[in-house]
Amino acid sequence: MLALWIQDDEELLSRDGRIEAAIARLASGDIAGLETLYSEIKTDVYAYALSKLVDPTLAEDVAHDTFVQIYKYASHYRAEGKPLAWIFTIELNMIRKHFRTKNRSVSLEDVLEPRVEEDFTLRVINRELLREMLARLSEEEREVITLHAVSGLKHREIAALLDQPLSTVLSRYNRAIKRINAIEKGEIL
Amino acid sequence: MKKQDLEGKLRDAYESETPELLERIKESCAKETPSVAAPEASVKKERSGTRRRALQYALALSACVAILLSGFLLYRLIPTGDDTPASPVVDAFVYIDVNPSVELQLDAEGRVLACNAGNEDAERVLSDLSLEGMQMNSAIFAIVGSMHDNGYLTLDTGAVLISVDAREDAREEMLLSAITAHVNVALDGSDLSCSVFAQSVRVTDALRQLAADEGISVGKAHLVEEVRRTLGKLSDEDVEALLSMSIEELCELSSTLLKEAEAYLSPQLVQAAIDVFLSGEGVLAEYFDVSMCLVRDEEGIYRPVYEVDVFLREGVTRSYRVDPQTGEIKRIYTAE
Repeated sequence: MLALWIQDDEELLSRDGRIEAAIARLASGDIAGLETLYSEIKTDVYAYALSKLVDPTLAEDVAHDTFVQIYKYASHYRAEGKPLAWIFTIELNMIRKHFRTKNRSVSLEDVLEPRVEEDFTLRVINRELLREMLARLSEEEREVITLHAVSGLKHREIAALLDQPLSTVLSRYNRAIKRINAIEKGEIL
Repeated sequence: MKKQDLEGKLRDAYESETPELLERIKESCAKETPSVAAPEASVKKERSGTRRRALQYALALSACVAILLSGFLLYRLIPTGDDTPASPVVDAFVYIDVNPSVELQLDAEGRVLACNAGNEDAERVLSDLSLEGMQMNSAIFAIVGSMHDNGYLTLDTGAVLISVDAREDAREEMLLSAITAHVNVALDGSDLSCSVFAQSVRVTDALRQLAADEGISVGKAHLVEEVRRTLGKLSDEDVEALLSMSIEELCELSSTLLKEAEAYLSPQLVQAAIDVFLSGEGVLAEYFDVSMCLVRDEEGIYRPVYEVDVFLREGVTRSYRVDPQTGEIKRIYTAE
């Protein structure tokens, strides 16, 4: 009964609270914290890497390296209610390390190979939208729209994370939305 | 489509693309030793020691540099007895752009010191010409004639761009007039008529770098920068559009801007106009982003317009286009 009550209490936490709780468990040496953390943020971490790198294989490597770094440095995290900012800072460092050591250029063929499927389900349509977005938006636009759409970061939080003026973040976000709308309508950009 | 719907689609797409990496991560973590955060006090003490050592290294390095610099200056002051005459001084750079892009370097007497091709087409134009030592006007006739013979100057050619960078302003103005006149005479001689645009340029390293990076001539690069300076903040797409414009399109846009830009509303006035407009609708804006952009009109001619993005509250933005001369406002987009 007590264990069930504790679990219910965790579910009542906000998402940030659940992530912080998982980091705290990890810092105390509880490997179950890693599994909880992974299930909470795996899409955030992978999506951010993919938005920056475009190549799914490279994005997988960076996502993997980011989680390993989080595991190593969990005890360094200071709970201030903004765990995603800490996590993305780690991930940005992994991405920059990747750029320093590997060839940066990515061709369109590396961007989520198009699948030919007879059944045009919603999943396929969304995948095509993502593929077009990755191919046609600039790195800065992909970065901002992904952090906002997938991780729910506010524009001010994104500006702080990227050390950019709020005006720059807003411009990039608006441009990205307009371009994605144009992609959706099939307009040529 | 509503912004939330778009974001939802992207989120779903990312979720379905996210691979399963947990087992691979756990295997890697098993080989790592978690780092333990160091206490604050010992970190501060280490820093002060580090700072003292850094200062000692900086002082030693400064002393070495001072010794080396003194030696170098002494060497330069001692006469060497070298009698090699100085190279002729370039008094002016002249650029002729049609699509071939040619650079002439002139001395103070207007003689050609050097002639360089800015692209492959220009190499073809200059391949049969030997212009060093020639007077500027003869060189101009030869270049225009070769461009015509090689098919780069035809009845369809819209514009020739002349750019001059001279050591003195008075000389620069004289060269601009003279070269424009010579080009016109040469064009008449080939029964061609196209507009001749002339501009003063300052050829800096940054301008050369821009030209090299974008694969365009120095003259075109200067024109692009002038248009950007006149219009203010432009989007990346509009800068790309400028860079890919023909010389004729760019020259015409620049001429239009020269005539009209003085009458443009300032970005501050545009923002104030939008603010008043929104107040009339009972809407309060948190933040404005005003930029100039280029749009093609019905005749296919590029025209500058202001684009204003208004951030109403988290998640709600509107975009408006404003005519820079009339101030006419048109809403083009809403994202909620």
